[in-house]
Amino acid sequence: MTVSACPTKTQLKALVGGSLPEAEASGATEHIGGCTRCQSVLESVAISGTAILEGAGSKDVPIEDLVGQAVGALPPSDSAYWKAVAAVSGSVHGQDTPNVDASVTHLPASEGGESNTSGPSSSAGPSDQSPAASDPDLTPTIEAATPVALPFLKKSDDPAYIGRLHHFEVSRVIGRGGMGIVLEAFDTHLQRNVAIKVLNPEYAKNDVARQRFCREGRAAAAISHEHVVAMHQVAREDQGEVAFLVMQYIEGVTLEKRLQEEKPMPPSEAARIAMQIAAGLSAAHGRDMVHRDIKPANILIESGTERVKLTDFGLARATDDVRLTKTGMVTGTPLYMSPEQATGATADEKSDLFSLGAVLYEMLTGVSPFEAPSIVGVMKRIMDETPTPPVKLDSKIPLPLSELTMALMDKNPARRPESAAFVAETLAEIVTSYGPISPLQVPAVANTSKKLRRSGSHRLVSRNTLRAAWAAGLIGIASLSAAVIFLATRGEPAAVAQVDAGPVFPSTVLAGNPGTVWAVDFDPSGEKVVAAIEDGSVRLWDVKQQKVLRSFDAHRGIVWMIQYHPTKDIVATSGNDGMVKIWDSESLELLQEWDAHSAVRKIAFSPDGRRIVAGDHDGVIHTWDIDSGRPLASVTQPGSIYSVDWSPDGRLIASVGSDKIVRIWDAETLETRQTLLGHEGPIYHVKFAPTGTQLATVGWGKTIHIWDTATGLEDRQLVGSSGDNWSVAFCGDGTHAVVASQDGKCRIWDLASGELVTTLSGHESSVHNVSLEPVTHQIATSGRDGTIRVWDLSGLKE
Amino acid sequence: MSESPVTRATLLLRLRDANDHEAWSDFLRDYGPMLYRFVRSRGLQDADAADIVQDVFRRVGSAIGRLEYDKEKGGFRSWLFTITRNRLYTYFEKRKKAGPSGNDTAQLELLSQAADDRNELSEQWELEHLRSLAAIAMKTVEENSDPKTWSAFRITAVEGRSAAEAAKELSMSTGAIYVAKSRVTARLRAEIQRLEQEEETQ
Repeated sequence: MTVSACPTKTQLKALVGGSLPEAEASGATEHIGGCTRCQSVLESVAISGTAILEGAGSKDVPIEDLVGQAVGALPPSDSAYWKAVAAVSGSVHGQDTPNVDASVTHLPASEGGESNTSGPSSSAGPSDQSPAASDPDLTPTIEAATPVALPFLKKSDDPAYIGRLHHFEVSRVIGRGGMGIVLEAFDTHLQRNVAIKVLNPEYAKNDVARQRFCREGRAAAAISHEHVVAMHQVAREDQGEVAFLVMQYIEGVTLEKRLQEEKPMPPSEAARIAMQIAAGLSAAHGRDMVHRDIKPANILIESGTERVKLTDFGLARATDDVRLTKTGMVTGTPLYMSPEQATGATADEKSDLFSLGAVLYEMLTGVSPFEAPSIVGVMKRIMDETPTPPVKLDSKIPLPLSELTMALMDKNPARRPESAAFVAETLAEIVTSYGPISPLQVPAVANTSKKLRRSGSHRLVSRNTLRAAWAAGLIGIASLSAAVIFLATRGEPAAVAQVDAGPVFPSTVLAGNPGTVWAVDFDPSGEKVVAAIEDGSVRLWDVKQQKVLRSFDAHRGIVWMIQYHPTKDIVATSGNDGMVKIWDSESLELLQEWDAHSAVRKIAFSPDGRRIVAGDHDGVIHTWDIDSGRPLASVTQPGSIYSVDWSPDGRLIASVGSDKIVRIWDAETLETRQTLLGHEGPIYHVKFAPTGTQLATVGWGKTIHIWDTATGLEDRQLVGSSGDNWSVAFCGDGTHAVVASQDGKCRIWDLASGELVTTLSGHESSVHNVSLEPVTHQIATSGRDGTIRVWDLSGLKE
Repeated sequence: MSESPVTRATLLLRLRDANDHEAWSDFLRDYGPMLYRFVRSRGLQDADAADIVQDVFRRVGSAIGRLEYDKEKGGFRSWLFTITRNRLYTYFEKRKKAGPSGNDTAQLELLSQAADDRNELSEQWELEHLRSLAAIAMKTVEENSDPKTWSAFRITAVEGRSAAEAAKELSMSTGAIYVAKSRVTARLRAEIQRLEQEEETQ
């Protein structure tokens, strides 16, 4: 090796630029190989020829810091980033509607494969990384490539079937959606064909999703209507591994399929289908159920009768937590989504009407009103653009039908027609104007609108009548809340969405619990809370440090309730396994347990702490002596018990449940003392006020009932909650009630005035339990989002 | 230089067209990883970072049609920076309320400084931006480079292996590896500069 002199900087520059004569270049190159000084000069020459990279503070950034694998890499293949990108870029063109979210869930895997096997340039930067979801063909490809695995099926004895699930012989796979697999099966007990929807195994691993799938299925089972697919059964496979819904089997096609064959449809046919959808919706809305995902793929048309049947009621919500990110970003097919859903706000009846409008628009015009190549594009159009009225695209479309369609798609929910029933009736007018139709095609409509006067059965409602009726819907808080939503979304990027006005109370969030937190209680010091969790565990949290101090398995299945003893260091739990258990709160030693033989949703200690009361799923109230473990009394009421409470003077026990009646019992003998009527649906929680004779009950329906236990009369109703209410608690002096609601809010009411004092917002979904710490003015809430929030309300007590 | 000058220059215009699907995926491709890296650099976990990135995308998607950003003030990138900063600010504020940590407070201070202040935040932002430009530039440069020269660069600069290893693998002298690496570096530098200027004129 020859030791030569170092080349000059000019020579090195020429070498980099390729302009150094060949003879000099080879010598210099050889020299550089052994000279570290020249190596670094060469590097600096290459990186800083001119004053670039000004952006980075005029520093010369080493090239490794720009292109190195570690710094410039794409997010790892298992990163949530890919889901986020897929969610905003997912193709919505020519989609098989339910498959869009399937592609989202499958995406990380395919991304992973891609970035692992691709060349160096792709691992170094995003340049050749075209987001997978931008390929419009990707979705079907993934669907096709994934074989239908049905591991939950047992072998059928009859070779004509592909397998067996319980007493259902499965004959074929009807379809697959994001949420699950739909099977056609034969019910061997009832000897009929059924459709079975099995929750996607991906979601089935998630207890929250599975619980919800079953719960929504149960709620849907309550709807019985000719235009709603009947839900027969909600079931779980023996080990609880697979959840499935058994539904009426409909021989026919989806509207999605029908539209692929014929688009646009004759206006009379479009109106007839929309009328029946609206009728089905009115039945659900009458039970306070929102569909949330009205789209052609969820609308079935029965062969022969051409009757329309809605399916998948409320199921969109079942997988919400899986499909929504924490910021509330919506994934899935937004083509028929309402603006309020697109902005992540809660869907209500009016959202279903918007979606119905979008579907009707597509039937009439042949195009989906907000079609765009990307999800974001669609959402943007939903929020900003008003589609061309159908009548302008085709003059054969009757004006009233066109106007109704546009009114349904009003951006402002308050300006949409007032109810699905109203829409169904209006459409009936339009349909009959085409000539007499079979009475079979005119649907039964729940709670017929009082405002609508049908002037002769074959006459169209005049435009003025329609307008007046819609204007009537304008009044009320709906318009106000809509305005707030739109402010939030239309604001400058800097704007922070603040949906709820009013004072903001600080809350400490205890997140990451493994599932819905069904109950929460403060320890005697007020510094810790215990939580009853859906997965059977109990957690003890230190509030200030936001740390889990203890966690242990308390029950098989859901832990429904947890409560500290009024004086001793013991804590009681109850669970879906029918057990009521007493634990030493220090050592976590099991001190006592009772078997109620069916799920116990609530328990309560007697104020002296010597007895405990439990209400179970079979309607039995049990009282037990804590020290001896001896059963004291029991009584059975109709239906299931959802909540019990013990009066502060120890003399009374209250119970509520599925039969809509509040019952007050003598605590010793369990003889009936009072029966309070007035709830319209199941009652979820009952609570005695700490002083006096008041009793609060909440449940299905938005009203909070306050009763006088001495007279048995209703003292007051508190109105203003926008959802069902799960839990109620009184403040220490009984002047205020705190109510946890399905809508994710917790509201504080002044009992003297009956006025809403404040609303605590923060939970992302239903709040199931609220517990008060009277000394430090803290409130703990817990719910479906798996978090516990501890609110400091010292600011509220002026 | 084969690709994209026109594409990039008009990306913003095209983004305003809801039907231009390609523009949107170009945008995600060019800015997504950068946003993610930037947000992660603030100490966020993967899921939280992805949430923020998605939220920024969504805001871009819904606001770009109405966007009238000031060209004098650094254009689109600076607008994007503002959105991202605001999102991060909200995030840290929330977290601080839930229970402050030293890092949250420091981050909030940093985030609340004026947008055009030179600080660690904006430097990190610029660095991540340069990294994305570098990634784009790499593609162009690779196409126009002799494969062996490119490999020398890839092994040493991208994969971070030693020149000696590269020399062995490519049967080149160590000196030749250094020269190859610096040649590619210089070309990349020029290409990055070109991309930057192009973006400035958007």
